[in-house]
Amino acid sequence: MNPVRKNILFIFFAVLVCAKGFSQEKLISVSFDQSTFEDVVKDLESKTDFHFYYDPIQFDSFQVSIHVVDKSVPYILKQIFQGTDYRFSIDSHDRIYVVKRLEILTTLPPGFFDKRSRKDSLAYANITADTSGETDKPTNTATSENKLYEIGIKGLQTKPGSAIITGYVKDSKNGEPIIGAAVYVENTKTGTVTDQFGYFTLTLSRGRHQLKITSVGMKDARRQIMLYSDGKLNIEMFDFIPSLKAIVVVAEKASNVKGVQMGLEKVSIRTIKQVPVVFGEADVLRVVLTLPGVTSVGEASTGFNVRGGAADQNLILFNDATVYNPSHLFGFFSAFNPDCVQDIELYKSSIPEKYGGRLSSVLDVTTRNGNKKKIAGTGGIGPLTGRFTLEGPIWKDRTTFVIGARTSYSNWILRNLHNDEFNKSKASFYDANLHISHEFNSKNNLYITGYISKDQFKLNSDTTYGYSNRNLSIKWKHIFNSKFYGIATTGIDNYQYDVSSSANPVNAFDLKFKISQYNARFDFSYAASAKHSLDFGVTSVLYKLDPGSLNPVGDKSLVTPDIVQPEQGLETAVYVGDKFDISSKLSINIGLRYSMFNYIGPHDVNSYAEGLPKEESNITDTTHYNKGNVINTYRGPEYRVSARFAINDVSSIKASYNTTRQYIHSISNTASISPTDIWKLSDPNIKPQLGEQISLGYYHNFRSNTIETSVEVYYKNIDNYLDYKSGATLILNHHLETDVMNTKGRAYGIEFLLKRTTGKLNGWISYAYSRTELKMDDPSVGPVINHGNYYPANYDKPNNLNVIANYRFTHRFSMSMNVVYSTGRPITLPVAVFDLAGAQRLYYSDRNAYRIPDYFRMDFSMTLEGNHKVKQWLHSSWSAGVYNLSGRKNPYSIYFVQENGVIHGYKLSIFGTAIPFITYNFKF
Amino acid sequence: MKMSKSKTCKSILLAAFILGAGCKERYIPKEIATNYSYLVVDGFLNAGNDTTTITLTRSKTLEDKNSFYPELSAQVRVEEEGSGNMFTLDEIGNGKYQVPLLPLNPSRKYRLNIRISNGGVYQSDFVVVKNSPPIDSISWDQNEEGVTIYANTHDPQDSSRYYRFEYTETWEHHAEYSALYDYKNGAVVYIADPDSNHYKCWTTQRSTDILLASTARLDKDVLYKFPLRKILRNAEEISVKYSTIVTQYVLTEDGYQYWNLLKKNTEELGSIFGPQPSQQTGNIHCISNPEEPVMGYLSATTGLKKRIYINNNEVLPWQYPRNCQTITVDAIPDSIQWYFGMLGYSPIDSVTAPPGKKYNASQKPCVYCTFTGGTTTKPSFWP
Repeated sequence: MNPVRKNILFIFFAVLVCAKGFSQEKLISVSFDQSTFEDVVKDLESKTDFHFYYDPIQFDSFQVSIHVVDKSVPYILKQIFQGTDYRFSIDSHDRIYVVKRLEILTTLPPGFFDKRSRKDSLAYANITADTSGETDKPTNTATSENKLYEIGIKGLQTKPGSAIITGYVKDSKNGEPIIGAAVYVENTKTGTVTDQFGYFTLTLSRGRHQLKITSVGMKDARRQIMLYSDGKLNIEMFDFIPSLKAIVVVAEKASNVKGVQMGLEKVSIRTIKQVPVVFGEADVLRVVLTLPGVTSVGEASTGFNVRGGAADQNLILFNDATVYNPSHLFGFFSAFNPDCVQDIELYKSSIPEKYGGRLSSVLDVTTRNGNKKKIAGTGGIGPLTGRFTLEGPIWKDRTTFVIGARTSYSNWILRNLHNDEFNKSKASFYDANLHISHEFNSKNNLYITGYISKDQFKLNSDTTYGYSNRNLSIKWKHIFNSKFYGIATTGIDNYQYDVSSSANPVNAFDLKFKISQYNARFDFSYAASAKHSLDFGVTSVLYKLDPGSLNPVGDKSLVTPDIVQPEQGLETAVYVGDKFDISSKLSINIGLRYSMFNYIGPHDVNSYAEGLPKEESNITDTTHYNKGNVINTYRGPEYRVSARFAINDVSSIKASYNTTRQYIHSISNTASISPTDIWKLSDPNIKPQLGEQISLGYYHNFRSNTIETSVEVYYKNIDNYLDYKSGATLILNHHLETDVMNTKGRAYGIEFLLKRTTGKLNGWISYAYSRTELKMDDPSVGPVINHGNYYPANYDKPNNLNVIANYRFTHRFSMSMNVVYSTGRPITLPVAVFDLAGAQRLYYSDRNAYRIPDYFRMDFSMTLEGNHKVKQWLHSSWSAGVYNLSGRKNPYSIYFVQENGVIHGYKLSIFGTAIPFITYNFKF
Repeated sequence: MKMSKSKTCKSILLAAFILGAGCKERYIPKEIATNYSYLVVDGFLNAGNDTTTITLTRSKTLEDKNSFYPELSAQVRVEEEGSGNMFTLDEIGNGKYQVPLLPLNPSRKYRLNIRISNGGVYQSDFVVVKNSPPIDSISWDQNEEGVTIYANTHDPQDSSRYYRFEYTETWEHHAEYSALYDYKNGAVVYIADPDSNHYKCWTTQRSTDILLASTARLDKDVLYKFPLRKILRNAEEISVKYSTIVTQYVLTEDGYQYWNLLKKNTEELGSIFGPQPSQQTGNIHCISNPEEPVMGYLSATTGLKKRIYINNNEVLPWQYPRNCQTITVDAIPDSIQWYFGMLGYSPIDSVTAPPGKKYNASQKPCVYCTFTGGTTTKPSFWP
């Protein structure tokens, strides 16, 4: 059937759609003698809530005589029409239809519009069986907007009170869940957001509602529901595909104003793919860096800093697996294959209570679930990398898979560059993802995610560096009932690197570092009532670290094996959170997390003389702890509170207060995150880092919510931030506490965001003013830094401006532009030159007393897609662009070296010129 | 392969991501012009049978090209811990203070006391005396890239562990042409003494890199083939004969850390994963103004030395490249004035052929060995 005609029919029938149940409560008395039907209607409408729909012409000669006392309207009507050709029907909204000869069905026969839907939707017809509400009930798959979906068990009348509606929001095209879709009732401001499985739970008053479902990149959906009791509704959403003829689509995205969560940035892969990046491959972390409040120390680093936090203070989750090194090739690529990613969420101020263990932020990267309906593939070929992803059902509608792989061919390029320096260098990486989801039944789902990545490089030297991430997570979701569901997750995360050299047989060595963590967690969600929804759970992580081992390679090597004692720790936390809708205007989220960390033997622990710096010479005692002994314990509460006050439909104020604790630290004395950074657990000598943040925000949407604006301010305190002492040795250090020190940190800032989500021109502008400062003023820890005053952290960049703009000229051709500006990061400069041992030497300033020049970059890209015929086996697109269009030589660092006895200053730019790129992408 | 700077940037572009080399440019920030002028103490207490020299200078700004600010008229004394014995170092000028022999007792500790002319008082920490084992050998080997010189040493007591090396290298190099004539004061003169014709030169230079080695991670205190110096193939250094004298100092662990940090701060910065520079303090302090930093680190050690020679014929083939051509210059005043006075040619020898006397001549660098550095005075030790 032609879809347009189908829609018209739809609308037509939707008017007629009604239910059999009606109110029989009200008993009335009537008395008519030879009255017209019109008079009867007037009388009945005045005495009850019923409305009549009829054709007066059909009743012009109809006369009514009836006398009844305390009878229901249906009874009265039956009496009136008995023995006539007239038929009446009553729907759930107390509408009475009266026609001659025909009887109006208030429900539609199953599968009336769509043959396909017949078997899986017993939906709209009378649901009579099964009153327990707990066994498998037929679930509506709601695909049409104007149809009324009945949910729950229809009683004879609508009971007062509320009921719970649950279900999945899925993509109609491939059946994949849509994560983070907003499901809400427009007028009452009640709403929720789908979880990582596309699942939602919503408590509403019984009766009729119009549900609205919105998600980035999807067409807004609307569902008419009639809620009788707890029940299910699955919703399929359609891709937002602009049609060839112009259609004005008015989307309403209001979750930024309505959600209680603040400081949450969510970006879908669709948006990520529009942002031009160097070498043309969509990059998750590059886009994160354009969000307000996120900075990095430089171009060649994917370590990022959120609101003045260090790079190790971000919890990076890939389907609940912790990724320790999120970068490839020194950070030129992020570890996430863009074809496997569904979307990312960055929590930077109110971190949900279920997350913990890191101070500053949570970056949640979610993979796609596979296409449920057919085998499909995507891939791309760029200047340095190639990637391919295959997905599809294994067992139709039950089990799906996504498998993706990516590799670089940079080694091949290096070999072909006619330069000795390059020929001797090597750099390569690969990564692979596997994600399987299986639906046992409507109550039990299983998800398995595996990830592996490996990098190897050698920079014109004899030393080979390699590192790898390996992650596996298994998740089981069980729905107990419509109000209550739980997820059990377990997994192993592993990160390791190794550095080796065999050029000099006497010094040939192999240095290894490894960190493994074993996770188990149970998360529960309980929709207690319309006003309260609870989240609670317990999580546990066992860390095992091999903090460094040096071994000789070959027979001639004189290298003494040196193994830093392995260490282990157990981090356990329980949490509970309540989202409480106090009124339609005021909602609060109260979360409490209580975390505990046990440092566990076997381990030797040094004691230091009290009041003296932790130095080797001040060691007073070394205690040996046996395997399994708890050496020491840190514990404490973490508060996560946020509140939203809706001023009106388009604006709101939010506030939040958060505290966080971190028991594992990365220690680095390089400016950027580097693969050889050391991770260290808290122990008796290294205290956990503590964070505290207060933030306040104002949100306002314009033009039917198509333009979102927000302002957020925050202030943050960090205690026990680990910084290195001057000249620290970090690798193979058996007493790391002697080379690091606890500092105090503070960060504050204001962030502005202006975002347009739809239309030909879309994108965002973000500006942040922020400061991050550290302080070390305790001489008993070591030499004080900068006389004990606050000094700027390495990543303190006060002004940050990002503009991401995408303009879609036609449905096939679009152009994107990035503009990035930021203050230069602080550096320590040489302030004096002196002669020593035959050459000039440098004396450096106070730590981070100066700044490198400001950073500015502009990128441009355009994407040309192939034709949009739906039925062709391969869809392809080309994207081409220029990174750093203005060719500005943004300094990555400024440094000074002594060459032939004379000091020279150098400015190092990573991308010192405009870099063109072209990438071919395909999917089938 | 030589490339201009902009070309370097472009070709690096191709592999920038891989090498992290990016694009590198000279740069001096404007902000760092303040002259702090800190006291610099260079030298060590010689526990061997040799002179102890301490050089006192002042630090300068980065852009200051004037290379040397000696600290004159200071009192410099070495103090023995416990006994209070004092040994005074005599000023010999240019900021140098010397004592011919310090009778250091290996079981005692010593420190340096300095009072400068403006009244500032400086003092080092007490330092232990570290005796250095003799250098086993200075070896070298050759590959396509050139010659590498190594130090090999070991301490049977396994107690030295931290080493610092310095070397002073000297090489003989020759001009392309041995001249019989010279151009002086507007006239060509015959060189009577063939040894004074700028043909043979000796260049001496001191090591500039901080050469540190540690055997702390090895089972035995054995330092094997520690690279000291790389000489690129066909370089002038071994075009005739090369010699280097290597001094070995043994450091305390603390001293090693100081030199290591100094090395990191001045030599190893700039790579993408390189450490950040950091403020450093040695073991010398300003007593009169504790806030004032003092540059330098005092050690007491024997500076044991070893010399080797490398002859050109040991490294053949070794082609020190020169583009030298001769021209002939008529022995008439105008020509002499033009070629030798104005164009910078230098006479080599003379030929007499019709119509008259001519000089063979070449560019100055081909005739004067001093042009690339060094002196024509043969060092006393040179064989």
